Amino acid sequence: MKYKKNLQYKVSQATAHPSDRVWQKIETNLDGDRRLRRNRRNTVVGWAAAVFVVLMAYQAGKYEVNSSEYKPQTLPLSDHVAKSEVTYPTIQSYNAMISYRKDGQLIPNAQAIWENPLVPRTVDF
Amino acid sequence: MELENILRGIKKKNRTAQKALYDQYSPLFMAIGMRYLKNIHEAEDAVAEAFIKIFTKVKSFKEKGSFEGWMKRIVVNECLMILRQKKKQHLYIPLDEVDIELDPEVIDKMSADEIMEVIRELPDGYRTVFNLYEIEGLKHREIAEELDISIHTSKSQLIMAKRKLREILKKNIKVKDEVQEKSAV
Repeated sequence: MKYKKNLQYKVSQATAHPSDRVWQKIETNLDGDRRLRRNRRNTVVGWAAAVFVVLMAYQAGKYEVNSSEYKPQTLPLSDHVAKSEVTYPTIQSYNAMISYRKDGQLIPNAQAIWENPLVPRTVDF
Repeated sequence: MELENILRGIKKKNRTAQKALYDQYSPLFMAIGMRYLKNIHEAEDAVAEAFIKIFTKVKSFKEKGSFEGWMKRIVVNECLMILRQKKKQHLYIPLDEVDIELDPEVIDKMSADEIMEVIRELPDGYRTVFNLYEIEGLKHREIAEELDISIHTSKSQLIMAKRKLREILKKNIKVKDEVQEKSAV
């Protein structure tokens, strides 16, 4: 039994140095493992964010539809006409405004000219 | 860095702590690897795999036994895994001899490196059983379970290992004596 303990002690004193490739292999493996875990975590976070956005959009849509401000209603015809009689400058008048400009400034009496443009006199035969 | 701090660090997957543990224990684990596996590259692979397992499974260490013992067990298991992968057939040798004792005085005179060299000279099957029984202190029943062999085979492998070791030691002593005689002349 004495020899067994002696043998165990002697063997426990033995050391051997591994080459550098061992630590490189360990590091590569640990980095790969870390990357894999990060990718998995990113995928989970991405899906959670997507689900959250979809849920928020759905909730917002529900709110809009249910909101009293946007409830569809039938207006009396007179009101409808009044609301639709909003006038906007037409593209023609805008173009006319441009043609009566000089050096970026409106020429004097520009509005009067484009409202009553000069028309060549016709000759009656 | 103290082992407790290192353990705390590797639980947090801190690379500095991992490197510190590697620097501290890789020579010891490499010696274990070389005791089980003849090929240095295989021993290095076993050590690398063992460290990867230690770093990734450290949370499963319950802190009941010693951390060093837990790590050593992983290294030994990795070595056994490589031996199993090689599928080396263990020789079946009938058990017809009583236990053989190695000469304690001879062991006494030998250095750790010399003992390692002698153990490494043993064939795979003998070496594995010898390591598990004599060095790790496993019982034949445990060795049989670990290596998927019968208890009878484990016992006979150990006897043959010791017989072979005795032969190697005798040879080494003879060579040493001859060298000493020559140098005296």
